[in-house]
Amino acid sequence: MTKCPCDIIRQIFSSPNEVINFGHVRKAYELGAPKECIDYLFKNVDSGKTAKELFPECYQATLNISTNPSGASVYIDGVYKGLT
Amino acid sequence: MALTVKVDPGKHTIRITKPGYFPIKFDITVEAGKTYNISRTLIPTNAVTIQKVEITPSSPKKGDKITVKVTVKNNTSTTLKCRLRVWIVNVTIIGNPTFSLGAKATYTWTGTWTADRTGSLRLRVAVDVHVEEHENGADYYETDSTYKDFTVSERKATITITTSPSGASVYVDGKYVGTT
Repeated sequence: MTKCPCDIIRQIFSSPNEVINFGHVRKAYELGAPKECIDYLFKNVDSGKTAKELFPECYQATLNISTNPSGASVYIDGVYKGLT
Repeated sequence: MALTVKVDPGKHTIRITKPGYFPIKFDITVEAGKTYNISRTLIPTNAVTIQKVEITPSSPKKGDKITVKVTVKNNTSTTLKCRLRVWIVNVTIIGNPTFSLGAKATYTWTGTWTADRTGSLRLRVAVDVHVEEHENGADYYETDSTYKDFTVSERKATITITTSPSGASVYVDGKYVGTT
């Protein structure tokens, strides 16, 4: 579940691969992010994680793939992902 | 059951395969934070089959107008775009009609050919289904085929010979053929 609204995350990180630092926490505070969000950012300041790792839901899309009949193999960009 | 996959924003190529069905491939461009529901109905490789092939007359002679009747059936629960290919091997194409075939429906096509030669011939029939997202590109792909051999014989003329008096021996081209 998203601890921070994605619109705030996209404002405080200039790219998905930017590593979190204290400046991001301060910016989140200035943008009025919820306390839960600020706590989460603060907790991860020294984790070395990127914005994309901390908030994958803000930087990825979800594909729900179904087939008729089911049981089909799905490959995305040439990589096997599973069965429908 | 749906398969849920997380992907980066941008363009992705999705390929779906299942034994007994035509493999499909298509692109999708996605935006971060959004959910996309993708649903596809796979087309079986035997979606449309040939039910019957008839040649009339069954023993044609040179110059006869030969009628070929082909019946095909859609074995699926969806309407399919089909193509029939009917030809006489090494001789001619009789027809290659395209048509839409409703769920579980049958279709009969009739074509003709005037026999312009004698000898043993082979009629071939194939039925294809159009697969829009086939991994090798949108096209017609064969789902069934068959053949039927037939012979076109020389057309003979009839000579009726009478003599007065009767009882005369008759020879045609030096060969005895009978008595009047």
